[in-house]
Amino acid sequence: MIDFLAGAASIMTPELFGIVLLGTMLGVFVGALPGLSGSTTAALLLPLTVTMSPIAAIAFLGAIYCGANYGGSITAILINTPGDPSASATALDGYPLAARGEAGRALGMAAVASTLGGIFSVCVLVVATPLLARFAYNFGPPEYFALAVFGLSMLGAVGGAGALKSLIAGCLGVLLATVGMDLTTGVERFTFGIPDLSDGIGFVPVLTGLFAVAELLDQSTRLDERVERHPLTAAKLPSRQDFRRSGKAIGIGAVMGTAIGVLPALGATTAAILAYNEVRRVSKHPEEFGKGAIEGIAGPEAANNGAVGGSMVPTLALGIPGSGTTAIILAGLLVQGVRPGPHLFNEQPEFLYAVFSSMLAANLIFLCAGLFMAKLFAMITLIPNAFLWPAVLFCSVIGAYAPNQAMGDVWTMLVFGVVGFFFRRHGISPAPLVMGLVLGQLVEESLKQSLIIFDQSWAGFLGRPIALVLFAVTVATLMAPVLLRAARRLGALRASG
Amino acid sequence: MRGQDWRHPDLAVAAVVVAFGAAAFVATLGFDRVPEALMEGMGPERFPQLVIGTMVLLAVLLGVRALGLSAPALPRIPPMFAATLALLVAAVVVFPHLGLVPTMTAAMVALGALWGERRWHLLVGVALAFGLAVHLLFVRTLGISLPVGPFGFLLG
Repeated sequence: MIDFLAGAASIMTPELFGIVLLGTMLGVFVGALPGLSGSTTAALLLPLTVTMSPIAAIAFLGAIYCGANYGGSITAILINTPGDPSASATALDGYPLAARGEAGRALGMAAVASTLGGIFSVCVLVVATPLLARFAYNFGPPEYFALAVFGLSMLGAVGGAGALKSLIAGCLGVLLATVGMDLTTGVERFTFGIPDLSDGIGFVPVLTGLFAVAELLDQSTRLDERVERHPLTAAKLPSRQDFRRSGKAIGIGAVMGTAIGVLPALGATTAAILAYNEVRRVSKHPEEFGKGAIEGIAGPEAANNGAVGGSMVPTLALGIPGSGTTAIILAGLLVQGVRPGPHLFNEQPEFLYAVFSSMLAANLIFLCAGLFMAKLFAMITLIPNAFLWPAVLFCSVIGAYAPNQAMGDVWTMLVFGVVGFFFRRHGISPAPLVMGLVLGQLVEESLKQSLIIFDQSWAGFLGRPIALVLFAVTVATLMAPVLLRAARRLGALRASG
Repeated sequence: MRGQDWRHPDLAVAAVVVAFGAAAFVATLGFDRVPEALMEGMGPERFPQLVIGTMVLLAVLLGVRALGLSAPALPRIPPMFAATLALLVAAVVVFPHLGLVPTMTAAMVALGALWGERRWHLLVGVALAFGLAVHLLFVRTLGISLPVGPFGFLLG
């Protein structure tokens, strides 16, 4: 508690509070722009954090993450185009409400539900992260290897072809992490005689390329699309009746969002969609969903912001990203020379409590911003593509070049922009590649160290119970969609026969 | 059937991944050898080969899964994609010579025009203001040095 208060006090400095305020406002602003998700915003603004202290950097990125999740709901409600993928479920009922002239009511509920979901998840973060960090404090390389493999296997939890493609992208990310000099032997790998590649592929150019440049190239193929925009007068605080109808939905969303966010690789988008389905299932008026049910906004908004705090739990306690955006935040910390994990938690608790406090502050800031400045943020949707995306290009090039002042990084950004474009075209999310890239070094190092401990025998893992449990959960995660499909077919056969 | 293709798009993904995996595997064979006496544990090529093997296996599964499926062909990529990419490449080629801020300011105007914006005064005005803001933020405030090129004197 004392550490938490010390962390809270540390963000009360004008400089840090200003950074949280700036991060939240930038997050809401950019999150409201269709195509610019929280991940893209964090990737674009990552270079700005190079000049900040580690606490300021993570507070800034955490605030962007919180703000962007809420910002995405503004465009989801007004133009039926989620600014952030996590707001896609919000559009299902938010847009019909806006079409009925109730955009202010929808935006007000989105702001309040997001804040409540976010605050709940930060409370869970404060309690769960130290417990998880304490549990993981005695993890050795075998446990870390098993944990990283489990984290990557969660990319396949969605099932179907999407799962296979996510796993392939995750493997590609791990492979990219091997580019450069092998730390154990000093041998250069995949450098092809290019000196810039000796230190490996930089996180920032890859992230900027995969998210911002790829989206820009994607936008170039959709220039003739027109959107119908509903007007907004002002956001309204939810009425007592709206609260009565949505209380349960907010509770379900906050709990589901936080729980799903804690699982590695499953982020806010999955949480919001699952929460929407659950809220509709338990609703007394399921027939109103899709036509402008206020609970249809409250549930997913509480869930997607709940997932923000949830996904920070494994990121901070174990160093395993809980979502695509937290993978970028983790990359930002690695650039700063800070590797989150149980040791960091035990050695610098005030660092992590400052993060929690900044996320709490970000939630309160975007509540005020959402209620009092929604009309201003809604105007963001009026910026024409021909002005917006060239500015994004400018920021991307600076972002890729500035950290190392290397032209090679700019070319890397461009190459990954094209890769990201074809990823999108073929339904492959870029987030798994980022997760693989961030976790790659941990996977390789922990595997090599484990094998040295086990005298080069893979059977040594059998003597490590925690690693075994994690491997078992990994196999279960990977096999679950196949087993479920088989069980469903068997059930159908029995019913027909 | 029109609009349908016997080839599922995932087959192309699987083929590209297998080809990439094969090329990467060949590249691992060219890594420098570490003398046995100095090596402890896995060689530098082993881990990448393990990852490549997993990736290719997953790609084969994806391909096999897609074999029995049909799907509408993906829409053609419009020429604007190639034009936009060419502009990006041109901007990156030029900026070490002309300076980052002047090149990207010009690229903003060119991209806006390429995407159909014809309000030149607005386009140029926004690009100049944005370029100046970027210069003030990154160079003056954050102290990051960017290539200035022959027009650097204009930025002080």
